[in-house]
Amino acid sequence: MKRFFIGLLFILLSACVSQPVTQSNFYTLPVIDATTETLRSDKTVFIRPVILADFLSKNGVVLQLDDITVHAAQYHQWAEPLAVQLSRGLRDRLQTAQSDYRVVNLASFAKQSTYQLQVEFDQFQGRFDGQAVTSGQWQLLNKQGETVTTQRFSLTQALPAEGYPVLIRALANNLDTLATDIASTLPRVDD
Amino acid sequence: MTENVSNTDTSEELDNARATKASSWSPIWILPIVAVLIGAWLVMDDYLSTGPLINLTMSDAEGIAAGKTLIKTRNVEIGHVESVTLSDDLQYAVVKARINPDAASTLVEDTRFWVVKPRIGREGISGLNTVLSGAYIQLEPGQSQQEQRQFEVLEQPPVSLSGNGIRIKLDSPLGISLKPGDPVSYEGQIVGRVEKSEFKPGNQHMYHELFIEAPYDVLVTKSTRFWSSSGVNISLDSKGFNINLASLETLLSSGVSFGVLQEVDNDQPAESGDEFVLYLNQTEAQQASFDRYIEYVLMVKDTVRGLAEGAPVEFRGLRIGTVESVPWEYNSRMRNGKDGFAIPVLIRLEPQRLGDFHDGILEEWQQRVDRLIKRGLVATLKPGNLLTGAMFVDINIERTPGMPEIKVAMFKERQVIPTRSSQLAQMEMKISNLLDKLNGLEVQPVLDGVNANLKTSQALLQEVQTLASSIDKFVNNPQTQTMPDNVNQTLAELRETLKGLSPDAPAYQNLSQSIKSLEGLINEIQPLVRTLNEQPNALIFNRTEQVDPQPPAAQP
Repeated sequence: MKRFFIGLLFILLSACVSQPVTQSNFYTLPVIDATTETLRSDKTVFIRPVILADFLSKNGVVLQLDDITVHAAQYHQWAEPLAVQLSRGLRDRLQTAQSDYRVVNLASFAKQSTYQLQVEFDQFQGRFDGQAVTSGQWQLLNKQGETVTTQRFSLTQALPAEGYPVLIRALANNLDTLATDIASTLPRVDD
Repeated sequence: MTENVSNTDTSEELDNARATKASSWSPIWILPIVAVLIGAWLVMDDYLSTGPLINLTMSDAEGIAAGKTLIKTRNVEIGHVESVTLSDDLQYAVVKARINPDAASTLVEDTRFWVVKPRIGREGISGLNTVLSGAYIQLEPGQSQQEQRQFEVLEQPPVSLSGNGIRIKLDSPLGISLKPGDPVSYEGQIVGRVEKSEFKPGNQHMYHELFIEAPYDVLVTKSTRFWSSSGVNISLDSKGFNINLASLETLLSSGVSFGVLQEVDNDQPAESGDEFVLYLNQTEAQQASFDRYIEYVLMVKDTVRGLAEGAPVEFRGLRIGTVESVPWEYNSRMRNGKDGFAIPVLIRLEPQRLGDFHDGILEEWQQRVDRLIKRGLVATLKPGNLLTGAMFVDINIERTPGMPEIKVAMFKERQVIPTRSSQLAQMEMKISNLLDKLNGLEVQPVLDGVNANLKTSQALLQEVQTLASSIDKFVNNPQTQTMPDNVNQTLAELRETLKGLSPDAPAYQNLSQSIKSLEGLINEIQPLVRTLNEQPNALIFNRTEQVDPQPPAAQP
């Protein structure tokens, strides 16, 4: 009888035990050092606010489960809205990739900058086949608002291992590649 | 004989009791008799010591208390009020008062009673001592021998305590308001009071009773005139401006003045009860004293504007009469004919004005005037006062040699005094005035004025010139010229201000930052909403654990 009560008490107490709560993780794109050497001109490229596909503007890191299904992670989230991170990351990477122009994204520079860069991301996500996918298009505008260059880009990077941090580093690599592409397309400044 | 018997029959007498007749009354009866006598004496004494009972009637028994209110004469108590009742017709109060027997002799026909109580009048405050003691009835003994027991209590204390003087009745038209107690003055000296005022609606007249105190009563004679001296009398007529003020007291209220305005021989002193007429003012009284006059008519062909009733009729500046009526009998048929639109004016010649009046003088005057009319007596309307425009009638004799005798005309049974148009005189005056003005016309000042005007014009031109140069200076002023620059600068500043609202501006950035924060918040909330959507009870219970799919590694 006594044992029965002890057993019952144990059962009742065990009801209070809950499952361990899954920890949420917050990520930022890796920041690169963008200390610039002497610039060759005082011309500037202004990066306009980045345009994101709607499903990317959620906080969760997006994973494409098959060709049509996307899933925004609930426990793996961006620490900062993705558009802002992309805008800042692109600025630093573009600055590192060339030394002809000063790259800025402050709104007050918009009017006086030589070129304006408008980037639109269609994809910035992990894919079911273990690739980090980044695609979209960018546009370079001159001072008068006329289009100088328009290019589409579609970059993939294979993930060396599984896991969200790996995915995010791969996406950052894609961003590096994009910045280098854009830098090479910028008109050269003649001395 | 009986003595003999008694002497002889002594023994017998001693033996036999003799019946003697008892006395018919007992001495004890003296007591009641004395008592009766004393009683009778007391009654008699009481009756004799009780004074007469008098009836006093008054309109208002204010302050009178039965058994308490005293009757006094010269501040000596001579009686007291026994009862206060209303008369049978309830019109007045009846006070029964007992007067001490030794003062009974004062109750005669002309004895006067009045209530002494605090009164505030023009002469000040009287009867102040009765504030605490209560009112009492004052008795003023009369002179008459006729006894009386029924009296009327006066509303007001009598004017004179002595009671000597005369009472006079005055008859006046409505409009002169006199109240009991108003002063009667002679040359500014108050000699009496108005005692009674009564309005007779029958003939719309006021009747007043005046009391003139002795010794001033001798001032009133048969020919005395009375007039109202109320307030200030201001008149504006052909004699000019006239202000009349009898006394300061009458300024506040009304009053009566009197005087002899026309000396009459054998003037009899007035007697009590004589009736006089009360005139509106002294002038009217004066006018009324000229009761012997001759009436004439003037047929005025000029304007009668300014000619008022009461205007003087003068002969070489001497007043001999009065204008009686303007116009007079204007609608009469007699007026038609040669007189055309002449306005009849009735005048009176008053010989009394010149004094030395005697019987028969009227006839003398009439004959003289008749004679004079034939010789050229004419009346002219002349302005007596240029300020007021009032006119008077001037009578003069205009005799020109060889003039035909003027026929005496009649109008309504009165002789017509010929009138001469005053136009000539007026024209004369006008021409003379005109000449005076022409004479006094000052040409030099006009020329000076013109000169001054020219000078002013010159100054004006100079000022215009100065103004033009000022404008020139102003236009050439560098500051004026830099004005467009200033405007430009202002526009630039305005642009700068507008920039504050552009995307470069901090305000804009702040706003976008705020929007971003809001967006972030919404993003934060999204998972919660989604969880709630999938599992509405997630707020209470643990949500079912969902594991994020892991991004797989790439297949080599």
